[in-house]
Amino acid sequence: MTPSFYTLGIETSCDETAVAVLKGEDDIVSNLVYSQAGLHSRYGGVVPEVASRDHLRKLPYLVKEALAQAGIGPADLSLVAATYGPGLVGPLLVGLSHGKGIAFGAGIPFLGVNHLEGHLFAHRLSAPASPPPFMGLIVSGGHTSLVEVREYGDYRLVGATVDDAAGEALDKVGKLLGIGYPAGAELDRLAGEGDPRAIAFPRPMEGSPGFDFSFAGLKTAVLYHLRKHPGEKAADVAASFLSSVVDVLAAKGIEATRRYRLKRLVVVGGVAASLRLRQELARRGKERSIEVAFPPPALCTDNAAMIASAGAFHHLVRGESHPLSLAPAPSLSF
Amino acid sequence: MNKTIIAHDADEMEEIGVDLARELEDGMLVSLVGPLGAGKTTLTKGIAKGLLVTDVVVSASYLLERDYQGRLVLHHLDAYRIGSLAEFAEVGLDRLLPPEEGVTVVEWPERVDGIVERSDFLVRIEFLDGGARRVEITRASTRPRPPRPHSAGSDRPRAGSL
Repeated sequence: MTPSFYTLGIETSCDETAVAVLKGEDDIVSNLVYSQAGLHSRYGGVVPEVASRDHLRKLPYLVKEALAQAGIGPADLSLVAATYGPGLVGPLLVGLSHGKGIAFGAGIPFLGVNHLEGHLFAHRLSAPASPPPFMGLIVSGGHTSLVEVREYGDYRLVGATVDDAAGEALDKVGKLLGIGYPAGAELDRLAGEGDPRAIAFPRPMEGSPGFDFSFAGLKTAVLYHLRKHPGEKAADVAASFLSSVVDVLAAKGIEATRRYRLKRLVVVGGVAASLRLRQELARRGKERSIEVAFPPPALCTDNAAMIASAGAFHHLVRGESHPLSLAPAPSLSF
Repeated sequence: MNKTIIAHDADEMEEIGVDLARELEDGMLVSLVGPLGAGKTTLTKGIAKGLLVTDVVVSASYLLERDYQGRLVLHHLDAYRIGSLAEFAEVGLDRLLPPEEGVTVVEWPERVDGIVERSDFLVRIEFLDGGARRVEITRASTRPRPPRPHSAGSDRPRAGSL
């Protein structure tokens, strides 16, 4: 009997330290995320020094724990996959170097994974039976991209933000409203108490041709509104702002899927956890006979199972690996 | 060269960046000071345009730094989430303040002691009533520039990235 193929995945591109063990191509045997949100919220944002130091401090522990939960030792691993970009250069270097060290020590191949491609593999993990083609919508703090997935490993960037990412807009408007970081969940909650039609914020780029996004102007519109109406109910501002963001994401996402003659839209990234985005996309998808897939939140936010999955795919299906000289690529794209 | 300009909209803000780009040389540091939504990234888009960058300049808030290739390399930094120069060093970005090659434009420089002081250009953006912005550009002509033995030729390969 051939021994199982185990991949160790490592993700350290921003504020999460995450380690996972994957069996074969889609069987998650352990998936650990050391959420640093508690540490970061004191600073009103991600503090890279803290993030970087914590990756370094927590990685060995997380690797040990992930292997223990999988019931295997380092010698049982077949592949190490680590995020090599995009992200913060220091944290990327920590995860990459740690992964390379384990691969070198165990004498097994190493593979660097594009964090954005990794997000798409959340769908492969949660729905292995519904393969590409599909339209991927990646919405997070750092990214807002529409990508045509012809098959895994074959992508075409269809559109992206020309200024702020959607999650970044949520965090910045959260700051204007005095909400701590990250603001997504609290904005969602606050919006539930407000009237989404109270303020007519713009729907940036909604009617423009092409599939790029822009959220900087919307942030400025909220700022102006708050200066002019300091007494405005925060819940109404949150609801109206969120409805604008959700409208734009949903309209572009559905339209891109339709235009590229695809039947399925897959939404991943931290903002995919937004209840309002899920409801609105489900509704619009139904109208257009487009299936909208949301992988479970634990696979949507930054995690290492998706990195392990992308790594295992590139190695097992495509026969790829990377030399240990692979450098972090902070500005990596599709 | 100090000047004050009123920008009435985003196009005019971008135009100010295009003009500023003409003055930029290898190794220069530009500080952009102004509140959230003032137009710092818009001005950076103008600088990029003036430097003949063809890629779209997007916010650097999350990644902290993005590089663009133009007449000179443009390093776009955002110090909003950074507390000190040591933290910049921690993430490998202190080498861009100022850069050995190319131009660094940094938003929220005032959040980190020492950046504004070592800038070649300081740009302050303020809100005026009615949505216009007041943009004040100060050139630090007296700043002693460290010797740059390597800056003579620009055909040297870029300093190794991490």
